[in-house]
Amino acid sequence: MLRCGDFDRQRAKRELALDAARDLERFLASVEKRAFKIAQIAVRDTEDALDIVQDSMLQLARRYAGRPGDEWKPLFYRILQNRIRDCQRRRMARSKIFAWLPGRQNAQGEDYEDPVDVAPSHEPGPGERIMIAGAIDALQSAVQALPPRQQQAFLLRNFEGLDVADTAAAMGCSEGSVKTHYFRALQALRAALGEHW
Amino acid sequence: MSESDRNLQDFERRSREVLNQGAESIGADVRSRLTQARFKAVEEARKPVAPAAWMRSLLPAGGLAAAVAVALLAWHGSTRLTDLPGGESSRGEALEIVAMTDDYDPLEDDVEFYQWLDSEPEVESVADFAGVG
Repeated sequence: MLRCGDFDRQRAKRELALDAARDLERFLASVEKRAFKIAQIAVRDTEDALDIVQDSMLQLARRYAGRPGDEWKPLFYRILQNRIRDCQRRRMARSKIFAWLPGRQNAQGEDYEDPVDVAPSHEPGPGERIMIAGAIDALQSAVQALPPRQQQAFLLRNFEGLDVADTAAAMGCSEGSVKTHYFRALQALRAALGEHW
Repeated sequence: MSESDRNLQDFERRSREVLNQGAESIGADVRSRLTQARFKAVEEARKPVAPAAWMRSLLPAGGLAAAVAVALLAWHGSTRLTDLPGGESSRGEALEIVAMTDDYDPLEDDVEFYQWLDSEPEVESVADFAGVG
């Protein structure tokens, strides 16, 4: 039979666990939309971006839920960047395999379209840029055209608001490297968006 | 603060606002799936840690997976990036993705960079920038 003290301790333990779960939920709710946009800009696919965010949330919950809450943000974005990189590498490997297959055809005898080939171009031309309506689309297109490290530094620093140290932790590089990538990203974006901004 | 620094700060502020607008305007279906993913993750965090015996039973499979991973890495390393389909742009991006463990890359000759760095509140010295402070 449980004594009164044991009962109180168990109750306190349950409440602590509940508080921790609430903290984690609040944290995930605070980052999920920006994390989705970061993943979507990086991989240019809504389904892949959702999978990346879901995997990152699960990984954080499984491995780091017990860590102090102030460590969650750099850890979460480190996981997210790794998932984005995994997705990009899988696509590269897939494009290699598809490149070996000559004239793949469907049942109607038509060539299949390689999803990598039909993905939007990395560097929209001036005409295409003019056609992009609205500041959001223009900025997202310009960010997508950045080299991956510049894109990461810009989105983590500017969009997510991580400081230099946390961005370095999330990107797995030095703080000096973060500053270099971030500055280059700003210069490239200003050059690309000059006419819109 | 110079005109150039002010322009850069204006650009940073504006781009942050625009990206936030983009994040707030995501569709209801995506929001719903993000919420589901969040609930799933929180549930996962509440689960007790798996017993050690269960982990031990995976050791042989882990060894096999490691061997397969090493073989794949060896194969991947032996393939040439120049064989990738696509133009110079995709090759450059592929190289950058593979070489993402890059590190310190100083802009030694870029005066504008150091002017911008000087205006950054978080940076106290060049030693801080170099990561040695």
